[in-house]
Formats: sequence, structure tokens, C-alpha cells
Amino acid sequence: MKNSFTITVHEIRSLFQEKTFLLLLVVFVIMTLASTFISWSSQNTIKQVYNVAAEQMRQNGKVAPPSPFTNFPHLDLVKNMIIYVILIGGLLAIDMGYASGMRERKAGVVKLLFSRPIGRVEFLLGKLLGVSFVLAAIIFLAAIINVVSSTALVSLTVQDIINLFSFYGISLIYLLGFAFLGLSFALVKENEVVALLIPVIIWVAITFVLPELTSTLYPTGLLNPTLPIVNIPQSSTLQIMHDAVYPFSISEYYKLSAATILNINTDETVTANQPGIYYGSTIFIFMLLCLGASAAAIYSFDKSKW
Amino acid sequence: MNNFLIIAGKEFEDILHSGIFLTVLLLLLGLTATSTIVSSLVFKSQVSAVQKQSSSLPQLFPLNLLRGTMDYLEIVGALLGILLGSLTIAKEKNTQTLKLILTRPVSRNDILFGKMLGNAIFIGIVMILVGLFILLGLVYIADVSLSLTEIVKLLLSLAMSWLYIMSFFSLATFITLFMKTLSNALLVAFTIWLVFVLILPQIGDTMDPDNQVPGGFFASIHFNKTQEKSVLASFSSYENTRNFIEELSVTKQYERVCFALLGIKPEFNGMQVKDILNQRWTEILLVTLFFVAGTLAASFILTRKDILFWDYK
Repeated sequence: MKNSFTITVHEIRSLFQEKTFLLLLVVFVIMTLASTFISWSSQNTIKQVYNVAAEQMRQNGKVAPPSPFTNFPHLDLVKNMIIYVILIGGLLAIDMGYASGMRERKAGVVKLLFSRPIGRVEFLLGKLLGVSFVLAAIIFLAAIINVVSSTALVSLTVQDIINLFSFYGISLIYLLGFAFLGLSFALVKENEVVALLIPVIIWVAITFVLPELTSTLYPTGLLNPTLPIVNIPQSSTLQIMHDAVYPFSISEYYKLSAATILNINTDETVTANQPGIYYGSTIFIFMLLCLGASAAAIYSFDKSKW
Repeated sequence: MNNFLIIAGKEFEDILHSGIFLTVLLLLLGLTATSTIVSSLVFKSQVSAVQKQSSSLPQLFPLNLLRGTMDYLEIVGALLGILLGSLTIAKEKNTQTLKLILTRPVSRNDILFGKMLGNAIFIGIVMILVGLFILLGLVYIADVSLSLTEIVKLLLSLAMSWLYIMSFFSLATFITLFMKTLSNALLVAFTIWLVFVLILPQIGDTMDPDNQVPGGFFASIHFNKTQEKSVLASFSSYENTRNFIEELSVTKQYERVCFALLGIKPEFNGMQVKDILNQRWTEILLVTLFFVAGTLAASFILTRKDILFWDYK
């Protein structure tokens, strides 16, 4: 256990020396800072757009429908973070896991390391704890940034802050899955490009392909945090495809869970047809499966090779 | 034979023997096929729904079905370009053969442009295969036929996709020459890809007033395009800022050209090819400039001695 702790501390130090990790981290922090302002600016503009449109309708003798924008939930300001967690957070997490798994291999110290009394489990545990700790710290930083930036624009209630931290809690679980995937392939794949490419392909599939198969959404349709109206056309083939693929569409589950926690997109046409706990549990299972992949990877890890 | 052509031939052969390239190629073709099939099924379902309600069908534009395919070419096509660009340099750096080749009477530009030509041919073949998948999907699944003009528009979209993928290829070539390790080069290229392909378009998309309501704000109040434009005319500074952010992305420039050619933007449906190209020449020029900038940067950095192998100090 002491060895695991030493490896964890080493992991944390080493990650902050990785330039590519720092680059992605900077992008993530900048977008976290920008996200509140982008949403605030869009909210103000759409309210004014509605007023101009309503005035035009009145001038043409029509009755304007009531504005759907009178009461934005406070946490609507952070809705863009759902997308940034999926896009930037996902890639950042893969990079962290990959860097962690590759570190000793690249330095050529695997044989040396395992000549000491360190077991595979201790080694893996140290890596998992290091990656998880850094990811949790990043998520905590993002939450603090959002609390500060949102408080500057609206008055958040205690419940809002609890919801915001819950959202980041589920985001952490979602991202840990990708970090563990990155770690797993870095441990078992001999070719370093393949080791990076496989988790990236899985991320592309989860983020873009599965939502298209389940909801017939265009791949870039996912980039908008406003949940689209999902209306599967009357086609038995599409319905079969939806039923077969939907249980694996983790990014959709994450979006639904996040939107529910943040109390946004409550329109009944777009909300989920399962209780929130179902989606949250599925994300947790995804993370556990990726953790299992890491455990399997460490037993296949050839410690006499590098 | 010219050195440049020999290098191009060797490059092409290497690609065909590489498992990584073939994996990504199969992924791209699989995604194209998936997207075309899904769109075709949706299309057929909508056509039968309309037929149940009335005997006459509205005018249909089959190329509109390629929105999803274009999205995949935007996302995965750029990734393919990055991989090809990174690995073409990485294999030489790994084996330190760049140094060896340069002891022969081969110029640095022969190496760069030979590699580019080999990859350009490969990407061209990929685009032809994508085009065939699209045609098969449209004809046999969506059950539609294409006119000659539509085939020309499809071919031009694929040519534009080729240029777009090549622009990411040249960017990745430059980054890999510049960086000290392959994994760092790939991750930097992926970060740039993330910003250009996903984040900048996402910001523009999120700021779009119409996207604030599921299904579209203007559709929800039954406003047509003319009415929408007249409302948004009062918000020109906001719209200009949004447009500027989108225009920073080469992906958005590429998308605008292809969406116009394929009529995915409805105002371009039925328009002559010449008129579409006239309206979108700035975007075509910007994608070309992105490609040229990447190529020039790679050519410039190749003159440095310290980039011929990894971990230079």
C-alpha cells in the first residue's frame, strides 16, 4: 500500500510535467471560464430576439405566444459545460490515462521498477489513484470557476450549488471511464500510436456514432447543449437499431443526467423516458467496466519487455 | 524516375501495408455507410408518411441526405489527415532514415512533396470509395436516382473534402516535424483538431438564437426564413461576432461549401453549380490557404537539421 501511495504521488507530479496534458488542461479551463459568458450572452440575446419577433407578430395582427425565455433556470448558464466535458474533458481524460500507462515504458524503467518489491496490483492502484486524484482536482476547479462566474451574473441558491457539484460529480465518473480506457490500452498495446488511437476511436464512437444510430441525430447535432426533439421515424429497421444500440449510448445518458441535474431542458418532448437514476447508474457501470479493463490490462502487462 | 515520384510511390505502398491506416480507412467508410443508410431509412420513412397524407410528393433533393456523411468527413476525415501526416514523418524519425535519405542527391522538398503526393493519391482513392458508398446507399436504400448536375455537385463536395483532409495532413506533418515525440505530436494535433473541428463551430452553434429551443425558436413561432432574417437584422453585431467565431474554423469554411453544393442549406437547392461556387469562393480560398500555410510551414521547418529524429536537444 505504501508503494501505491508513492506511485500515486509520482503520477500526480509527472502529469503536471506533461506539456500535452497542460495544453489540454488550459483549453478546458479557458472554455470553462468562457462557457458562462457564452450562455449569458445567448440568453440575453434570445430574450431580445423574442421581443422583436413578438412585436412583428403584433404588428401583423397575430397573437404572440408566451415567451419561453422568461425564467431561465440559474444553472442554464453552465449548460455548455455538458458539451465541453464530453469533448475536451473526454480527450483530456484519455490523454491522462495514456500518459500514465506509457510513462515507465517510454522511460525504459519497467524492468527496474519491478525488480523492487512492487506488485502489479500496487502499481495499478497507484496509477489509478494518481489519475483519479488529478481528474477530481480538475473537475473541482471547473466547479469552483462555474460557481464564481455564475454568482457574478445571477444569485445562486444553495440548491443550485448542490446541483452544480452533483453535475460535476457525474462528470467525474463519466471522465474516469475514459481515463481508465486510455490507461488500459497504454499498458497492453505494443504500438504507442495504436494505444492512443483505440481509446480515441471508442470516444468518437460513443460521442458521435451511437447517438446517430439511436436517435437519427446528425453527428454534429450533439454539439448543441439544447437537447433535440428525438422522434424516431416510423421505420421498423430504425426502431430495431435504436433498441439494440441505445443501452450503450453513454454520451446520451450523460447529457440526459446532466440536463436533469442542472434542471435545464425540462420540456416534456425532450426529457428522458427512464428515471434519472437509470442513466446515472449506467454511467457508473461504464466507469466500472473501464476499471475492469484496467485490471485485466495489468495482468497482461509484460513487465519484462520494457 | 524523378526522386519525388519514387518517394510518392514508396509512400503509397507503405500506406497500403499499414494496419493503422487501414483501420481508420475502414472506420471512415463504415461511418459513411452507416450515415447514408440511416439517412436513407429516415428519408424513406418520411416519404411514405407524406404519401399516406397526399398523393403528390413535394420536390425532393436526395443530396440533402448527405448531412451526416459530411459531418463524419468533417470529424473523422480530419483525424485521418492528422494520422497520415503524423505517421508519414514519424516512421522516418523512428528509423532516423530522413538523415540517410538526405545523404543521397534528394532535396528536402522532394521528400516533402513526394510524401504529400503519395498521401494525396491515397486520400483521393478514399474519397472515390466514399462516393461509391454514397451512390450505392442512395440508389439501393433510399431508392432515388441522381441527375447529372447532382453527380457533379457530389463530386465537387468530395473534391472539397479531399482538400480539407489534405489541409489537416499538412498541419500534422508540420507538427510532427516540429515536436520531440510522436505521442506529443499526435496529442497537439488532436488538440488543434478539437478546437477547429468541434469547439469553434460549437460556440457559434450555441450562440445561434434559433438553437435555444429544441426544434428551433423560429420554427416554434412559425416564422419563415425571410421573417427570421428581418428579426435578426436588429442583432447584426451579435450575429457578426458569432459568424466571426465560426469563420475562425477551417471546418466551418469547408462545411459551408459542401452544404451549399449539396443543398443542405435550402436556399442553394436547385441553384446552378457555377452560381454556388461564385457565392462560396471565399470559403474555398480559405480552405486552400489553410492547406498552403501548413505545407509552407512543413517545408520551412524541414530545412532545420535538428528535426530529423526524435528527442533532439
